[in-house]
Amino acid sequence: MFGNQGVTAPVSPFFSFDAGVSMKIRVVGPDAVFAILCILLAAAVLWDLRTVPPPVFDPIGSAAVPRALAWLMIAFSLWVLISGLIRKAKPAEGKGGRAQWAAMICVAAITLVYAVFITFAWLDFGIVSALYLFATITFLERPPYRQIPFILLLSTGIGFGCDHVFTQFFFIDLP
Amino acid sequence: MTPLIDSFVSLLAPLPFFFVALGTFLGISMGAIPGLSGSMLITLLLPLTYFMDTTHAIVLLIGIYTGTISGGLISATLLKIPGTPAAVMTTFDGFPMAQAGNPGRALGLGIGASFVGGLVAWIALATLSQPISDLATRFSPFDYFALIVMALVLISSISQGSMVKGLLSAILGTLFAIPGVDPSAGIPRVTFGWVSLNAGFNVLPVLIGLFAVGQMLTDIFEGERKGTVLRVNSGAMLMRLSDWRRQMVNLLRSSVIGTWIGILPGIGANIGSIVAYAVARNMSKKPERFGKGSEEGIVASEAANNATVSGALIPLVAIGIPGSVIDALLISALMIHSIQPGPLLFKQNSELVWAMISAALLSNILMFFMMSALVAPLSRLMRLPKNWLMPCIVVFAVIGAFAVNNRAFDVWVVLGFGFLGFIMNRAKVPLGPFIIGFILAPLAESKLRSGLMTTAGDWTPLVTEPLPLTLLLVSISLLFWPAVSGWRRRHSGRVSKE
Repeated sequence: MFGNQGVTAPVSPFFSFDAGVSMKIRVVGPDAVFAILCILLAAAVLWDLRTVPPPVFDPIGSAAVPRALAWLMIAFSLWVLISGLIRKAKPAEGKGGRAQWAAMICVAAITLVYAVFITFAWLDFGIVSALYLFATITFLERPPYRQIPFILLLSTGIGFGCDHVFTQFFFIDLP
Repeated sequence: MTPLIDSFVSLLAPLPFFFVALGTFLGISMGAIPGLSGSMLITLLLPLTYFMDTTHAIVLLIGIYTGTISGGLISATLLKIPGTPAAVMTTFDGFPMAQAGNPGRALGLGIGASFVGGLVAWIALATLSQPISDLATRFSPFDYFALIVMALVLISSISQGSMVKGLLSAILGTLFAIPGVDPSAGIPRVTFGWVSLNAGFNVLPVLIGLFAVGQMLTDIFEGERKGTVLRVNSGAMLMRLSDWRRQMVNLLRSSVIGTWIGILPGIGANIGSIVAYAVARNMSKKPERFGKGSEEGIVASEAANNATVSGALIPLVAIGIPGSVIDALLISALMIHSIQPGPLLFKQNSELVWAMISAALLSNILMFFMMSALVAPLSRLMRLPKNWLMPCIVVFAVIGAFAVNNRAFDVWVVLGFGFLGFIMNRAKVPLGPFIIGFILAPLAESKLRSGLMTTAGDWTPLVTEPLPLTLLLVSISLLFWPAVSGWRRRHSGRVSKE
């Protein structure tokens, strides 16, 4: 969805001021994703600020600064979005192929599952951390079978070691 | 002078000395591993500093700061991958010199230059901080507000990539500091009715998410960069007397440039080394050697990037404005220990401030000896597979998030900001302005509102008082300078074509 690949498109009449320069329109690049995210966030902030009462003693009140920031963010995001649309596409950088996307999404998914287990305290922190470490390292490293016992040992050591050290010595109430 | 000497002597006691040495060693080790930054290490260690004495915690973090900027030299020279962004310019000459069979000499020049850079900047830190702090105690709320605006515009305009993205990043960071109960009015705002947000986003999970988890996702996405690590022996590492004599002017000039750039709010060591490198090349008798193993190039880059460390501490201790991203993390550390950064820091916590200044000197000295003696074993760290390290970093991040309030909400904040950090890295949006905006926003808003309360809602002091007017004019010039210089470039190009 948000790779660097540019899609060649005919020059829009809207941008005819720059005629003569072959333009490529990047459909949804990382810039656009970031800008859209910022616009949505600013819209949510503006929507929430409706409930803030007007100031009594304070000249500007609680809503003025966040409201101004939200409008500024919308303006700058639109700038990034529009300049991304009219910019000439750069060649793909070679980073972020399908395999990398898959790896990133899988690791993000494993991490989310880890967070869910921690939130609901379904397993002891040491166990769930050891499992997380084993799953992630094995997935990323794709090690030969003979290395797997070593990874298992390391994951168990770090998982239970952290649990012990941080609950017993630093008194952090881990789940 | 006496408090400085007293605090330096007190740092030589076993426990504080241990923490400075530990921080410096950890920083050098982290800096030597490409992709793992000092910011990441500090954010992961911040929760643990809860349990430490304030002075020990801060001197540990200053040790890490010095170490991490210096450690980047090792991988830049032996692997051609800068361990930290600050060492980018060192790769241009350090690696060719190492490849030509002189890795020890390249590292020795870098270590010596780092030491001198740190020392020159430390002299500025020790002499300028208190006068600036005294001056800053006379600042009005509008002065402070204008200063923070200038800091945000400055970091946004100098950050890598486009200025609009830098500004967007600063505004985004500022906006994320807003949720919670407004301290002036006691009204919840931008909480969406969510009770967990009434206290706002705690700074630690935000930092851990952006720097640790965000970087991990980015690294997985971009794949591991592997290279051949050149071998080095620790022998013949020290700079010779003739080297010192030959490089003295370059060393001092680059150190002063690094110190000055460090003082400017929000600008990190990488800009310092780039400027010093460019100046050294322009002033060199052998500019053609630059990029092919020039001694002057290594010296300029390393002296400047280490000088930015103490240089950047000056605005932090004097006025509570971070000189770099790591300084923003140090401000968080101070706040964790219920210490309010700002011009009153010198008056209210003078012992701590002098300890910070002394720690900058001690860590610089320790860095020199550690790097000179331990480069060979430290270079082996570069072979550590990041695929093994990154999941461990996530586990530490989760523990760090839990340490804040013992609630799972902060774990989700870490993951949310980790994902945001990944998107920002992909879109090449700098994280520095975000962090500085996030940390300075509450201060900026409270200063603006208290200023307006004292003037009954009158905004004119912002443009009639000399200091805020000057600072705002500087901010406006910084905003419009890229457009003006671009227009001038295009105009001069057109004239030359005609």
